[in-house]
Amino acid sequence: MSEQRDIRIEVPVLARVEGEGALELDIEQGEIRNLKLRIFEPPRFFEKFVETHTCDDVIDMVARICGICPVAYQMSAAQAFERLFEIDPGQWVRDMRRVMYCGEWLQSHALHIHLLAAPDFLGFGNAIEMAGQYPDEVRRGLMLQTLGNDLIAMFGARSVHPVGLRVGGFYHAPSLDDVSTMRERLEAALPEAEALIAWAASLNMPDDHQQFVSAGLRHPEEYGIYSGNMYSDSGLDIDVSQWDEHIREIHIPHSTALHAELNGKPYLVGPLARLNINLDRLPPQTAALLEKTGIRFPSHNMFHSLLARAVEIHMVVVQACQLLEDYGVPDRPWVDWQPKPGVAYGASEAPRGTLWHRYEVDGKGHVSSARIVPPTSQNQGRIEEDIALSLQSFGLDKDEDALRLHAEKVIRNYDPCISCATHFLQLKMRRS
Amino acid sequence: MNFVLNDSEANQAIVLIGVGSPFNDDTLGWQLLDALQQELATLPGYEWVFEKADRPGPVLLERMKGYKRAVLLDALDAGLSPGTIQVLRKEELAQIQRPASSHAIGVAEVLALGERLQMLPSELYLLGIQMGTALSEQVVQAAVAKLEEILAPPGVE
Repeated sequence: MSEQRDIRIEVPVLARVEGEGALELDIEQGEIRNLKLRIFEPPRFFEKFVETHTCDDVIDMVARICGICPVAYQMSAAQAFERLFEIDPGQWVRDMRRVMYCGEWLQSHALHIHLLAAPDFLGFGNAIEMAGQYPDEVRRGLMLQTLGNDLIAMFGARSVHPVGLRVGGFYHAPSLDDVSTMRERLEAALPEAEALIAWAASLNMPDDHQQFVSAGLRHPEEYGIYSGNMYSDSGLDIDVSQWDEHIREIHIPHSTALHAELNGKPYLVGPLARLNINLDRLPPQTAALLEKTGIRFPSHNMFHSLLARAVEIHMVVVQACQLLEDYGVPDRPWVDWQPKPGVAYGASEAPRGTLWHRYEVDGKGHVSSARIVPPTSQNQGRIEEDIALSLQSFGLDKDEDALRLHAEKVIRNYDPCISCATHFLQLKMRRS
Repeated sequence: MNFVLNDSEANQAIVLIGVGSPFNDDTLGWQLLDALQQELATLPGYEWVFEKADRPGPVLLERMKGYKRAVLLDALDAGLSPGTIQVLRKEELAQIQRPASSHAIGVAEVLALGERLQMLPSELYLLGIQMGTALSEQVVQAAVAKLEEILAPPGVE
């Protein structure tokens, strides 16, 4: 009697994401019966590896969790230890850490927009196909990504798994010449970053508004990157040490990464959530460019994540230029410290969202226990919820290939880093 | 857009780029770069630029920008005897099969992207060292000989 088909879609390995995952989707009688974002990348046990190591070693070890966002891991860890030991590394260190963090956002977002996400919205299978028709855009992506990498390397000696950060500051301060060249390059990139916002806003995005909670760090003066309170548009505003009172990690059988819930519900972290709660912290020139696009924020269209990334690229280039303006080389780029036993809490905003760390440290400054909550694991619940809502609005009667591609687009919006979270996509879809 | 496009190829030096990571045999490209930096200093008639790239991904294209001639040094697993130097020319590089997954954007995929973007130097070689050995003097000398064979000094065509 029903003409509705039953379909099973399986995407056995998701492409253009970091790490290994799959999607399984069963549609029966025109309704979604089963939807699982399966994360099968094996657990990586980093939290166990760091036990017994010194705080400075841990800062280098956690950088190895991710090749795209190592700086975030280092920043969350360093701040956790510094809070516990009650040391203030001073304004120079704080400013330069923010600059280094800008480098990570720049390279990660530039890669995602131009090489991973844009092919979805322009109708190409991958960046190589897209490059034939949009060579200037892809070249812009490469230029911005390179600039971001070089900014990281200026402080961390290399862009993948940098080694420049220590408890109390940095091991090394960049020279005046290096900073001066870098500033010229950042300033030269500003018009490109400006053009990127307009271009991102011009892409044809599905009109798909959903209800969700946006969460991330919010700081009294700065856009939430380096530090701030954990904040949400549903009323959360807590010190990062109170994380466990509100956010609960749960194990779901189909994922090797823990899911997370804020007051019992999925929530969103990452560029769109962050921009939604940090609009009043944008530099005026970036805010003006966003205003000019005519797209209103806060936005509850997940497809606006790409635009949010473009806005954040402009913001970090502006910010890095400003913070490097009166650069001087300090006598010593770190402060001394003494270990103290206790529990260390730290959080910062990785390009993909809030990255929270908790360490138990003994009297000698060795870590005895660690917990790391990365952004992709927090987003898993939201991604599953989004796929269901988004496919319903797209039309469950569409053919399998169209449904599969749409689901993959939804997932790629989150720029998921499964390698970090496992601690991502094949689509298995069944219509029975 | 305001880019320095590669068709200018203004830089007459030959850029040697060691590609790798700090792990095991993946350091061979870097080790060879370090050794060549010493060896090539005494080779008359050439100008060299030495660069190390840590898992560069698409950024590798930016590192070659502006050069007419580039050589990539990388560890290779081609089933040869350990330490064998294998030279691949630009035309051969373009034919390397790309990996199906793009979660790691490897050298082969980046070169395919570079070709599409017309960002590859007109002369490009990959000097691969078969993995499974430490870098020996013999391997370094074999690499120098290969470089002299494939790259004529400037002005000599």
